[in-house]
Order: sequence, then structure tokens, then C-alpha cells
Amino acid sequence: MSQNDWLAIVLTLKLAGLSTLILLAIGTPLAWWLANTRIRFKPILEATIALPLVLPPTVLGFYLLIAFAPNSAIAQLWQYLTGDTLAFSFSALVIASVIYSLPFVVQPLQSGFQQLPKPFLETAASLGSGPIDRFFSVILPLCRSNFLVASTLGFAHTVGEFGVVLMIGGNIPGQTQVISIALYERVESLQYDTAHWLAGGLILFSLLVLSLVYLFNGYRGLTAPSNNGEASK
Amino acid sequence: MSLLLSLHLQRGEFCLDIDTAIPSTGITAICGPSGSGKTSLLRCIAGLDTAPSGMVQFAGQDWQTERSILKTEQRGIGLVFQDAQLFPHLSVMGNLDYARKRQFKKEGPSNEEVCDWLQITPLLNRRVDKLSGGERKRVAIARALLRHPQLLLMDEPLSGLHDSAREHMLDVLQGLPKHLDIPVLYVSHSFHEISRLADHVILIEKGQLIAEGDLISLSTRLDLPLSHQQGAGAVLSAQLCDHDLDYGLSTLDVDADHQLTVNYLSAEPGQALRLFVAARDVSISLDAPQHSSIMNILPCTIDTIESHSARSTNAQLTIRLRLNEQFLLARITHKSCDRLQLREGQQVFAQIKTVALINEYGLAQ
Repeated sequence: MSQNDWLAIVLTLKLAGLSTLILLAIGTPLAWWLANTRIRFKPILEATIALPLVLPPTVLGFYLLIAFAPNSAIAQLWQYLTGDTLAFSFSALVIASVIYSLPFVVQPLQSGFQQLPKPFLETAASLGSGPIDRFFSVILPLCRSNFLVASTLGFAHTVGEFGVVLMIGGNIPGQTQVISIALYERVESLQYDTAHWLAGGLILFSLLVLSLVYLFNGYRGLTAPSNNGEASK
Repeated sequence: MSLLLSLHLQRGEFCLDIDTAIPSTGITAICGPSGSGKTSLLRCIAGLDTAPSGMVQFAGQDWQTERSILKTEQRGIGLVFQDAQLFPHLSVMGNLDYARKRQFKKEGPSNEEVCDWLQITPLLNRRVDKLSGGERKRVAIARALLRHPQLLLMDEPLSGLHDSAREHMLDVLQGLPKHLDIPVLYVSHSFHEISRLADHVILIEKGQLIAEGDLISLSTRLDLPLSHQQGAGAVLSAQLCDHDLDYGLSTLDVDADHQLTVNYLSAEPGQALRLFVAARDVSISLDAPQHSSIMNILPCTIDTIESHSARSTNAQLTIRLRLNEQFLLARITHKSCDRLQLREGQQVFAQIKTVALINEYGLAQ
């Protein structure tokens, strides 16, 4: 394995870790709101969040490519705020990953929040617990498995991302070349032995992570599609 | 210092409309058939539901006004739900600690005291899913008390318990008032529970308040549903007068002119007691029977005769009898009523077959 392969592995883990943290920060309040709101256009919002589940990644990648192009408003705002260009940058990958993996985090959380019996929260309030206290003392422990599933799926899905990165990230080692892209490039250039290391490594890694989740979680809720079905009802 | 309520809540067909003041001591029962709005009322007091136009004030503190609403967590209440709602991710001890870490008042009963009152000390290290129904409810009450609330709200805390567990819980609950100096609101549809626990009663029906007052006067009013329930009867307050150790009996003063003799009670003379006399255990006689085995024969006046009881469907009617300040209920047949030509205001004698002691704490006035 070359230095670039190792760079791709580190970059992938960094991207997945950072995206997962951002996803939990955004996804938790969003899922809570979706679980409790009664606004009329909620199905449209849920459908929008679920879009990455059904669209080919290239569709999302295409629009993100346009949005991140140097002359676009978003890219110019980004440049004004940070001084960096957005196109073909690590930041662009993080933004794309967050959008792309959002349903994998929001849906398990939303379904957990919807199943959480309201009287537990009311009891906690009657015992003097305010909203933030209630989140940490009741919601988080009771929805622990949903948070575990959400983080794992968010992380694993970002690691497995290919199409979107191919469209917007380019292939710059150490900056935007993640494992899946590196693998593609090795296969293109017929370096099958390196390709085996990367592909086999990803399989082992994914198997390990998912097994750990199943081990800790029993078995409830991990199957994303059935969770999705419940959450979007 | 008391709880002032003025709540108006419309929910589809159902309309809650309550204006009242709840006393600041003792147990006040909110009583009514299911669907009458008891729980809605309790939830509004707790701040879990909000009546769009309404006012809730406790001890001079605004809990809800036209402009502001105090959140549930700031109201300093203890709340016991019908089905306990123990946190499943915590042990029994963890559930109690949850309340203890968020105490409302600094002073109040200690962990040991509360566990002792509710008899849950042996359960502390158990998981909550390993508790029986009665145990769950006792832990829930202990948790609410350890919050050191200024008002305790209980929503049918005995529902779903089988008879022996329910009686045990009633014994436990009856002992609480002597430990607590906070008002308690107790929602129930069971006259049995109310007659044992409540000092004051608020009767609601279809969201409207139909009567409120002390248990003694409300339990015998013929215009209210309490006197028509299965097992209806009069709640009396009395004082222990003397013991007759030769016969194993005790005499009780109901008032200056009326005494009752009951089986020996282990209480000190002068102690206040609460009694229950079932309507079906009282019969009426026009003159004092000389040769009766019944010991308790009290002179009294017919206060009210139930007027609207249809003879064809119900052979019996209920009569309210006045002692001095207190009342008895008698359930007799229409036939006897006609034969004796009973009328309101008439002097008669009530023969009482059984007197049940409800508890040893009297009634908070």
C-alpha cells in the first residue's frame, strides 16, 4: 500500500467522523421537531430529507457541483467567510456528506422520539427537570439504541459514499481522495493488489462496525428500510 | 393560602369549565365518572395542558394568568400518574435519586423516612421492570414525595390493582397525611377510596363542577351521585369516649347527644376517628325499640326523602337522617316508607347494624 492509500484511509475516517458529529448536531433537533410537529407540509419535508435514499448519488452530486462552482452565490459566500474556495475542497465533501447521509441519521432518531412515551417526559418535568435536563436524563438514555444506530449508519454511509464524491470532490490525494475513489482509481490503472487491500479492508471494517452495533443493540431498529417506513408514516 | 382555579377548556364536544378554590390542607378528592374531565383538570393544574383562557394560582403565586404560564418543572408539584411511569433506564433507587437531585423545597422528609412510610426499602436495588403493580405505584409515590413538592397531585393511583393490593395501598396512603403538611389532590372515581382518604370533595360531571365541600356533608346529599353509588353510606366524624373492657367494646361520641358503641378500638379517649355507616345497614323505627339486639339506636330527624326513585325499577329508596350536625343515610323499601308514613321533619330512630372504622386520623377541617 502506498502513502496515498494511507492518506485516503485517514481522510475517509476524518470525513466520516466529522460528518457524523455534524449530522448528530443537526439531525437531533430536526428529528425531534419532525417527531412532534403537526404542520401540514411535514410529509414534503420528510420526503425531501429522504431523497438521498432513492436518488442516484450523481443527481445530488450534479446539483452540488453547480452550487459549489466558484461563480455561485454559495461558493462566493463561503469564500467571503472563510477565504477558501469550496469547489474540490474537503469542506465541500463534508457539506455533501451531511446532506447525503441526513436521512440515515434523522430517520432512526425520529422513529425513536416518536415511540418515546410522552408521560416519561411529563413525569420528568413534574420532578423539576427542564428541557435540556430532560434531553440528557430521559430522552438520551431511553433512545440510546436509536442514537447508536443513527451514528453508525451516518458514519458507515459516509465511508461508503462514492457517486457524490466523484462528482464534486475530484481526486486530490490527502484532500478529497477517499477510499472508494482511491479504489476506483487503482482498478482503472489495474493495480489489483492494492485494490484488494482497500476493498477487503472496507468489507472487514463495515462487518466489524455493524456486528458491534448488533451486539450492543440486540437487534431492534437497525434495519434502516423498515425504520424509514415507520418514520415516514 | 390555597389553590385557586378558573379553567375553561373546549376540546371538540368536551368542555371543561371549573371555577373553585381548593383548601390548603388535607386531601381533596376530585371525583366524577370516567370522561368527566378529572384528569384534564389535574393536567391543567400541573401545567401539562393549558386551558386557553384560565387562571391557576397557588399560595399567592401565579401559575397561569392571561399573559403568562409557569412551566410544569417550576411549579414545585409532585405528580403520580395512573400507571406509575417509573423511568425504565433507572433502578428503583435511581428513580428516587432523580427526584432527590431536583428537590423543590430544601426541607422535607428524608429518603429513609419516605421509603419507610411506603414500605419500599427492600426494593431499592431492584430494576423497575421486576416490580409488581402495587410496588411500582408505591415507588412512584415515594419519588413524588422526595421531590419535596408544595402540592401533591395523584391521578387514580390505585387503578389497575387487585383488591388486596388496593387495600394495602389505601392503608399506606391513609397514613401519609400525618407525615405531610402539603395539600394533596386525589383524582378518583371510587367512593370507597374517597371515603377512606378525602377530607374535601370536588364533584365534577361532564366538565362542570356540580358540588364541593367536606366529605361528611357531600357523602349524604341525596341530590348528588355519591349517595346513590353501590355501597353508599355516611361518613361520620367521632371521638373516642370510653372503653368497656368487660364486654370488649368502645363508646364513641358522634356529638353531644349521640353515642355509638363499637367493638374495642385501640385508641386513646379523646382521639378523633372517622367512621363509615353503610346506608343498607341502617333501618328506621318510629319509636325506640325496647327489645332489640341492635346496640346502636340513635334518635334523629328525617332530613330528606329521595323523591325521584322509580318504584317499578327499584324497590328501595334512600333517606337522609339528621343527627345534630352530621347525617346518616338509610336505604329502605318504598313499601316500608309508605307503611310508616315517613315524612320530612319527622322524629324517628335509626337502628345501625354495623359501624366501620375508616381511620384514626379524623378529618382535617
